[in-house]
Amino acid sequence: MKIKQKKGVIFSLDAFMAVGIFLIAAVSIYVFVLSSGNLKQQYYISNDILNIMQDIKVYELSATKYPELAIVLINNGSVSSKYLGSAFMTTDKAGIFFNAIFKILLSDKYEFGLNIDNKEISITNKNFVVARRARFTEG
Amino acid sequence: MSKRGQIWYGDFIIGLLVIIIISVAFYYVLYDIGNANSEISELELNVESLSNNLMSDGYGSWTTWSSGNKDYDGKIGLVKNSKIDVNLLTKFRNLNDYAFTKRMFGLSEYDYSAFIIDKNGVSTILAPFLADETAISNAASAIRLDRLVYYNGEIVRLNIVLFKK
Repeated sequence: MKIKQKKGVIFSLDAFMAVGIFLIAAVSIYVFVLSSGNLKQQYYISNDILNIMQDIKVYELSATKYPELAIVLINNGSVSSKYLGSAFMTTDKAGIFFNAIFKILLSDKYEFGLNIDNKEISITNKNFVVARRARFTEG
Repeated sequence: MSKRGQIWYGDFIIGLLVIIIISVAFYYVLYDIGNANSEISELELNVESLSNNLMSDGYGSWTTWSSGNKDYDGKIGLVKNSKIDVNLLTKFRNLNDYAFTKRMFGLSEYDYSAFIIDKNGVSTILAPFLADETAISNAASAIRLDRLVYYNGEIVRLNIVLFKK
């Protein structure tokens, strides 16, 4: 009788271990699938930034809302009539300017950087790049 | 000679029950994941479509009347060349008919709202007839999509929300 009871305990333990392993696997899969996101938001943000750089001119930005403009326009007044993308290429204050317009708008959500013609305008941590958009332009 | 059973019936029954329970539970977990994913996909598709509509310049008069009945004409859009057009925004606000705008956007199952958020985090509802954050916070499910656009001298976030009550 005692031998039978011991073997019964071992088989039952197997069954309970199987349930435990299944629960761990099921919860892990569930959490992983539901928490993994996609890159749609990053796609739209980057697309909109590129469009804004091509469509908006520097002078259209309010100097009151962007005091950094004064720094950009010092000794570089011709930048005022340029589109933002061209302005970033021609001024050495592009990083300050870009951060003032875009980074502060999304700082609580995303880190991103701008690179024009292999020149880093705004630096980001390259080790965690999840998306990259590129566009040909002239300026 | 005593016969010895190959199995202990009690353990066999327990093991069989455990397998059945695990199989049923596994099926429901997979089914639930599939359901959750499809609802999220549905929300994503609709919020993208809505955001693309709002970010377009639209066309048509938006409303048309025939025999005293209001019908829609064209497509609602608020943005031209990355800028929220003030005239189009005023026209949208003057529609003052949430259900009508929902029909124009092709939203049947979902409700929507939109906010303009500036760099200081100040949020302004796009039109007075849209749901505010309190209504959205009580929704069963909601998804948000941010778009960037020029408005009133600065670059702002157009925060578009799609939710299900």
